[in-house]
Amino acid sequence: MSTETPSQVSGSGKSQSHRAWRDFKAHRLALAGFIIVAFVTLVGVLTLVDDTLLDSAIITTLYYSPTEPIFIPLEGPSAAHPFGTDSLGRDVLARTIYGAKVSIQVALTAVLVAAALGSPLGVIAGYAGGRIETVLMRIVDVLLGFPALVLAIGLVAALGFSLTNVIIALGIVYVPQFARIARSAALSVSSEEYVDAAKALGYSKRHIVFREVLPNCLSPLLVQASLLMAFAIIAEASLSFLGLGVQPPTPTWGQMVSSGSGYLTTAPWISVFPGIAIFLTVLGFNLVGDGLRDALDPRESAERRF
Amino acid sequence: MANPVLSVEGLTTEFATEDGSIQAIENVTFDLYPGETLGIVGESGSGKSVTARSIMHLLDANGRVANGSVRLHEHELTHLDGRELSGIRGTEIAMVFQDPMSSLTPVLTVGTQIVETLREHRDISKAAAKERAIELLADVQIPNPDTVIESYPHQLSGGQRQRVLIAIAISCDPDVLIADEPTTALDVTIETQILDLLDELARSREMSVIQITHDLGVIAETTDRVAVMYAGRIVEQGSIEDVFVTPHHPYTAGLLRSIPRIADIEPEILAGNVPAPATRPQGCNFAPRCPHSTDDCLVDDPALEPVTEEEDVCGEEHSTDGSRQRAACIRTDDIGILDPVPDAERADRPPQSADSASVLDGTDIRKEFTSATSFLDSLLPGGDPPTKAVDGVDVEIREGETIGLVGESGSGKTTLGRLLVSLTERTDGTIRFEGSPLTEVPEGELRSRVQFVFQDPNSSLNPRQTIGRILGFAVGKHTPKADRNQRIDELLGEVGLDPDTQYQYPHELSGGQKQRVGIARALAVDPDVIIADEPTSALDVSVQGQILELLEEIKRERGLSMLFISHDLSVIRNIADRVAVMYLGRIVEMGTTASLFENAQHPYTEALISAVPDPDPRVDAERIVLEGEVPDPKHPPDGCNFVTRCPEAMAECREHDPELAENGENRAVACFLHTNAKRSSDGGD
Repeated sequence: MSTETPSQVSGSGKSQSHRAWRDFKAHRLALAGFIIVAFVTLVGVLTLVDDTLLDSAIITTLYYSPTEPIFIPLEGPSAAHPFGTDSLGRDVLARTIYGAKVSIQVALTAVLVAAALGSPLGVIAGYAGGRIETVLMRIVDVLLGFPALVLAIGLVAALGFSLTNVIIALGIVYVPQFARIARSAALSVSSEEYVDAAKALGYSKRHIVFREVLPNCLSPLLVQASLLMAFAIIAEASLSFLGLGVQPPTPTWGQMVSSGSGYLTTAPWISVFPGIAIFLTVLGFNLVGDGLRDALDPRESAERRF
Repeated sequence: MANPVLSVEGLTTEFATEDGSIQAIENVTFDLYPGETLGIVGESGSGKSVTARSIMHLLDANGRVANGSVRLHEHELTHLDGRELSGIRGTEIAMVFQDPMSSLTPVLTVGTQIVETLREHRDISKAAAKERAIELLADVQIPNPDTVIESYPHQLSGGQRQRVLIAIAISCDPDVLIADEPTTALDVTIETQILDLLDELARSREMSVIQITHDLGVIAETTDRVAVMYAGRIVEQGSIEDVFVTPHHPYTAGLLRSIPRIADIEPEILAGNVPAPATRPQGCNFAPRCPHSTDDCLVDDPALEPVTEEEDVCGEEHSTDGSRQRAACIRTDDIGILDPVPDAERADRPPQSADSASVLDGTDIRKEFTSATSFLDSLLPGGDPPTKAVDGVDVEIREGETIGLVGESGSGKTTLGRLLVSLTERTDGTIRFEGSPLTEVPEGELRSRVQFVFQDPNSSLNPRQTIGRILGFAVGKHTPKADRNQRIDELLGEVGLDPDTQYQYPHELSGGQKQRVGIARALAVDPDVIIADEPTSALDVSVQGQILELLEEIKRERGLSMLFISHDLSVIRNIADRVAVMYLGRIVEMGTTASLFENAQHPYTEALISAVPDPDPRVDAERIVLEGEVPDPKHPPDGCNFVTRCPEAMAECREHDPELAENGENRAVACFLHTNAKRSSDGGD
């Protein structure tokens, strides 16, 4: 059919390949993000197992212990120590690998806590409306009134410096993010006719909220979760940098950047390598979040379908 | 005959999808002559809008014209680039879209938008353009054009916005105007106004119009020639009298026979669905649904050939011009002329005895919506008065009957339906279920006895649940666990779906199938009453017939009572035993279907009935065109609510509010032409 009008075919062929390239690029970035996230998570889980169950046996056997100061301090990157050594004579690569453990632990659990608390809160507020909504959302607004990091610092200071408390603090700090998104999603879902149909059939409120409304609010929450994981990693690093998070000798990226800050001119590798790790992980989560948003956006997929 | 202004030949448009390219329209050919109105009619998926967009070069990014030519005067539109095109669009060819809200920019005044269009194409000063804009608004019969020109789109009603769009489209005197479903989003009485306006503009400006719609009645009343599209192809083409009175293509005839008519004719079912572009069959696209198809039909796509007219001796005289009737069917000679009207007379409904028990009834039902949304708003004085969505209505649904509730948008018909099932809390009034007030009926009992069928099948099924799960929840309320699967199978069978449908998700089903699931869900609790809120308005013509038939059958077999809410009088005519007409929150007339349609008493009912476009082009019905639009329900007029638009308004109507009162057997009307009943106390406020 295209033999008669070759010029047009090549013209729109170009726009078609342009679209395909755009899609591919979008997919490729999300894929790259996913690979980074998967890699960091894998490393995090392995180090978690290694640390809690095997007492760092694996990393000590394969490489060096991340906590024992047994090398010459402040040695630059070399074949023996690709990331160099820090001011106490510990291997920076070993510590960076172990830093993934805390970051991943904090990111996953804190966001999970926030999602588990915030999403039902928002969905209930959005579906119920009226006074329930006003009360719930004002509480959320109070939480939102504090700058996230300041609130987290306050909470950790009150609860005490430990990994669990950092997770609890960040979990609480991110509740409003989920509650607000869940509420606006629930508001629009509640006006769908299937919610009316459920009411007309006499389903219980619990059934309507958790079976009909909540599942249809999940896509924006999922996107939010992946983006918040990036924020949680930065927040944990910031808390550690300030000395408010996980206490030494357990290595975390934020703490490493902090401890290297005094040697930035003479031994930049102490701060730079964990800094790069933070940057890449945050970037990875952001790319995954963007990819998810594109993939889950019905308008986008509708366009692709037709 | 003169040369055509617009000549479309062999137009084929394809879209890129994930599964390769699909052809939305194939080999579409037609001519448009100066001053004529050509109708393109078809169901959704037939490619009528794609045809318009291909002509205008307004395809989405993934679509392109693969083949064919579009000639407008001396221009070959398919070869023009963006700049040349935008010069032609507007000045020589213009388009009016379906949704007047999204076609206007919300942040600019109407005047600015018209002035911009004018200055884009014409070299005139701002002041002159503004003057011209006011003239244009007057041309499209907008009252007070010099104030409307300063208003924003959201301040105008739907009908007025459509007029503004038409004003923009005609601002640079195009020769061709393409109107894509211009009245689908509007009420019947407004539709009549807009169609009249288009007709008048076309005549006074000698414009050629392409009118695209799914509504056969609109086509019959407004066009000179028509092209019927099915699954991306034109299947029949010719003058409106030829095609609609003596159709040759089985699809045209099937479609005409399947639509509910206001006349006393039982519609016939046209089974099946329009195939999606990717699943079109080999050979004639209509063959799988065609009652006349043979094996020969499955071989090749039939060409659009002139039909032989036996009686027409001088046939060759007009065989060269485009007005000759053509059909794309290889069996036209064997089949001959088909009858567009089914033979079946409407089966007489067994008269409902007035004393059969009442199932659901309400007295003086009221619902007011306040605009005060917050506590602070309610404290502040002034504020808007509440909207009286339902303003003192009495209804009674008797055992085994179907009540049709008809009205335009804003009449409160949907609110009334929702009040009756307690989906919306009423402000005042009593509703009784089998004689006992709803407040005394346990919620669980009410929910299993009264069910609701929703308007939009795309929104009424949870997209994240399979059909089996959707029905399972509903069935689970009554059926022990062991029998549930069997019950789901039974329900699916009852609504004419395959039992395997239960493993599918809603998005995998067609609109008609989804609506069947919605009906099955309502039936799952074995209700006594079904309230159906416009259950067919989102569906195609042929699917609408199937769903109506299904509802009718289920009602008969289960002995249900039904309240059928619709804006479409032809549908109501076909399904209801009694009809209630609503206007601005009140019932203005009520009666048995036959008597109400034969002898409408209220002027509003009369106007509504006359506004329904008849698909028979030979019927040249006198339409009563109602002036103006439905008043703002926050500020209803003094006296009768209808007084502002009533052609028969008297002095009395402005002072007193008529009450719905008995007038003849089984009839009630709220109009001083017929009764003297006045509404008490709250009357004139």
